[in-house]
Amino acid sequence: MTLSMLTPAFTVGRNEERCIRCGVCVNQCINEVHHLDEDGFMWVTDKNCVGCHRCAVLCPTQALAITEFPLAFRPNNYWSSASLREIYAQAETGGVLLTGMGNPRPYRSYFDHLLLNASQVTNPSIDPLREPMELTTYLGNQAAMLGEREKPLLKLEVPVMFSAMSYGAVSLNVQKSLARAAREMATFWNTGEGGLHSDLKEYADSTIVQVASGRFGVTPDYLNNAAAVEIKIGQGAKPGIGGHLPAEKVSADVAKTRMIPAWSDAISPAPHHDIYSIEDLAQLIETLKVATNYQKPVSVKVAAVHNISAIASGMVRAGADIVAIDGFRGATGAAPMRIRDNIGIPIEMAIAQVDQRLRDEGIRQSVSLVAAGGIRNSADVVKILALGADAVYIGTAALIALGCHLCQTCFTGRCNWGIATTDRQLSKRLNPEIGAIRAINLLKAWEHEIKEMMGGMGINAVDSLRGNRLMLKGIGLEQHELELLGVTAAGD
Amino acid sequence: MRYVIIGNCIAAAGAVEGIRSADQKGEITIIDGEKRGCYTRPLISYLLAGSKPSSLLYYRPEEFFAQQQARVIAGRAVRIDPAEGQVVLEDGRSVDYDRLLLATGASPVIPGLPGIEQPWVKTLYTWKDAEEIEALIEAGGTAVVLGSGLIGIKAAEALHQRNMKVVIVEKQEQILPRLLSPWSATAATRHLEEQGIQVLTGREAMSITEQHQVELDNGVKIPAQLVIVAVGTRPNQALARDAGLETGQGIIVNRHLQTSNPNIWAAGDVIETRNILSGTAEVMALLPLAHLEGYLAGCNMAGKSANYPGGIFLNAVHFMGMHIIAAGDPNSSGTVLNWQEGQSSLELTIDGEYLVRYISINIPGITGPLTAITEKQMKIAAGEWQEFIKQPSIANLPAAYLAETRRWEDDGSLRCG
Amino acid sequence: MKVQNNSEYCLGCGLCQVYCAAAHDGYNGNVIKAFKKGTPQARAGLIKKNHESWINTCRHCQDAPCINACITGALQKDEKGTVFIDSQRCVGCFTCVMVCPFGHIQPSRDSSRAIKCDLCRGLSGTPACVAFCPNGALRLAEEVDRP
Repeated sequence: MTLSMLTPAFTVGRNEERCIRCGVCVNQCINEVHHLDEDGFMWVTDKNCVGCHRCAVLCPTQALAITEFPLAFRPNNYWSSASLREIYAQAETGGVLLTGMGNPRPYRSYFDHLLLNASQVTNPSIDPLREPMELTTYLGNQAAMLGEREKPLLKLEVPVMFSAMSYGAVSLNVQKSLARAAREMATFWNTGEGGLHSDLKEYADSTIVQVASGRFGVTPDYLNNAAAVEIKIGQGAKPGIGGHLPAEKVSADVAKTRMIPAWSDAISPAPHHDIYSIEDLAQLIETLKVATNYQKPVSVKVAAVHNISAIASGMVRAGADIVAIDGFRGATGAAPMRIRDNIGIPIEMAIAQVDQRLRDEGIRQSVSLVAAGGIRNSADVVKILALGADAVYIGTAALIALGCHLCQTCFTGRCNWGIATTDRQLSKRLNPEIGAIRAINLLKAWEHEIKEMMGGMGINAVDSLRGNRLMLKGIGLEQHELELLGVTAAGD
Repeated sequence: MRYVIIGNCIAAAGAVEGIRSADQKGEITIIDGEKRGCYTRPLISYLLAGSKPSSLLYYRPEEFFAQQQARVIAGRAVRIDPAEGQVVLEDGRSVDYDRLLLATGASPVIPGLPGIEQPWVKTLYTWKDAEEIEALIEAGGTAVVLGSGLIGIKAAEALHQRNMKVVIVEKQEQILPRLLSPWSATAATRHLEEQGIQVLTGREAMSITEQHQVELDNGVKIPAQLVIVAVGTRPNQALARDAGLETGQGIIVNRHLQTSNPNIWAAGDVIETRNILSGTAEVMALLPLAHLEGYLAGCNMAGKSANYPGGIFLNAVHFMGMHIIAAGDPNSSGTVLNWQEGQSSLELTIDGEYLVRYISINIPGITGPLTAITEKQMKIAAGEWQEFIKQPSIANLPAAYLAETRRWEDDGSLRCG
Repeated sequence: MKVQNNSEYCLGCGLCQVYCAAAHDGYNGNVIKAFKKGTPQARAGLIKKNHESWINTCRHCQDAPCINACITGALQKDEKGTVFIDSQRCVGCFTCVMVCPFGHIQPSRDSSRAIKCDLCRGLSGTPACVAFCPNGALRLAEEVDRP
């Protein structure tokens, strides 16, 4: 096939009055969008541009503007330009469309249809700068009866943890940044299914290690260099399918950390082949508890799918200390686009349903709920806690703090920001000293905002916010949606 | 403590800095025989050329000596009395010292040619010389420069810039014989000729006539309004010798720059310096060494022990847009590697694992590391030089050098501040 | 003080050079003006070798060979220990270039004078290269045990 019908997605505009031919855009774009020849002539290859803004951000004279390529299809409310482009791509390649990060489709966000309460006259609001405000959160089984042995708990000073992102999917410098930030902020980061690099063992007390279907990197040493162990069943971006780290991202160091051959595909099967039932899950949970001498809580992470409340109930009964639920906006380093964009349910619905179900069954105290997938800001955190979560995982927001521009091409391994890559040269672009500071700043900012919102509601401890749906009102929602969320309409 | 320095030039300035680094209180007296202040000799050719105002000739401004609380007295020292610790000046005054530094420098060699005493035959060594030559410059006239060392070349350039026709007469078969190899000298000669300077190598002046002519050994007579004699310099050792100090080609000093008299030190062009590469003591009249020697002598005089390891021959000269930098042993032998691109070239002489000499033309940027490698006698495999010479640049310097520079920083042997 | 490299995080992007050049020769940090109206030149070279890069900046040696060697007195050290060139005095003989063991000091583009890092002493604040390095690969190291 000689003619490609795929026109560029972006166009790079260069302000010639500003461009000084310094060549920074040229040397920073791994996609070779910019070219500078010996005569000082510059030109761009628009079709290579993924819209990551690396060049524009580093340009010392702000000479670059990246805009959508101004080539309009005849307006069509059904066949969008994206639909056409996807078909052109498949007609040219015959392949599954791959993508990265989270579901970008315009599905309803319930976060944007929920409003928070505030105190007026009848009870006082609280100024977090003047009065103590408690965000300390414990995760794990807190249902120990009198005389029973207490179960191990995770203690968080801010109810926000960093989502599982494996070394391989992201660079080691991403993990270093997040691990340092987690330690500094007294929260946790998660290894993902990629093993624990030796450089990160010093952060063991702030680490959650993951055991997934590929069992990459899992050894007794791995399990014990952590504060908690998480069994990953599924992921919000791609429920029902496994993982696939392409061979080109499996560098020698990644291979060593995962304990697999270098430069070979790392395939995590769709299911755990030893888990076909709740009873099987119970066995693995018990195995991990034994392996860690009952010293560490065991989390089980699933994607938010249709019958999530029944699944969650079973997980609790199987012995999970923490149930992490990943909503359909959850991101990924690589997933088939159709899977990412069409599978799962919103995290707001899943948490509301699971929290209610566990309360109804009287087992809510035996488990902590962690919400993941599409938490964008501190207001989302407050809303999901009010819907019933104990804490949240943030992945996309954390990566954006480190420089991610959501260009959605993580699967290529050619991340200009040094985030979704294992290339040594590209990885350098994220200095973990800077990354850690940025991640810490984000958490501090959110912590402050959460306290402000809680104070406004007259709440001085996060325990009083959790599952407190009286603090939420729905706006622009149908009656059945309000009922599913367990909230009433604004004005009701 | 009374410190006295004879001579007011580079080494003297270095000595003041050295003394003051260890002794803030001692009394420093500088005896300035030339009575012109502390100026830089190599700059007088710029003065002659008219490219620098005289105010920029000073190596250290007058305030420097005031700030350092050093007294400068104008007067020529004629005798040292080591027993009394006294320096006697030509006007009969005497200056007492506890510690004395001889920085008496050197003087041009005047060959015994018939006619050399003509008033239009000059050397270009002092500020006064430059002023006297100034009066003799005649635009359109011819100037003959005898000798093609650094002074000769710079004199030729200056006179050329003053619109004189210039002829250089060099006894050796090439110009800049102490600096360049025959190969690089050819390029330099070509450059001079392209700029309009006539170069006669392998020729010697036999006489200078009253009729304003210079007669060469081949009988050719060159008309000359002005003759500059620049055939070399020799140390001013008379004071030292008369005071009974040990002398050779220059004043002999130990590692602390101390002469055979423990209260007398010497530095600059007047001393014999250890040539690091050959291990022998030679007169190395080089400005960078003069300052360092002065500085270290000053330290030692003030009681702060400092060893002087010696130096290597090195020189940077530029004329008419050509920049030549060379360092190392002019008598070295070994494998020669050459690189050339347009008007730029580089010549390395490799002896086993050592770089013993380099000559660069119009590629000054890489010479600093080459000097360090030569001077510090870093071991570098010959193969690395083969790679380097393909495209000489800082990035292409041998890995062993780069590792060594990192080590200096890591182990604290190089300190900043 | 000196600018210290952390080449582990140097991207070789060259922004240090851009901002360094604009911080000198009277451009006052105005990058566009410097490059559009003039011929700015960075004071320290960016070296790239085997996927590693670093700027070959001045170490501001305590016993600076360049100061010893300078024939005009143009090379000086200020009270903070910063080695700088008084360009009015420089005649471009490049004796300093010849003796800088790091190859830091370089000829100006027109070969009329030598140029080197002066830690942006003419401007207030952090040296431009450090301030504008996008990845924290450069830092201003405090002076070590000055006598």
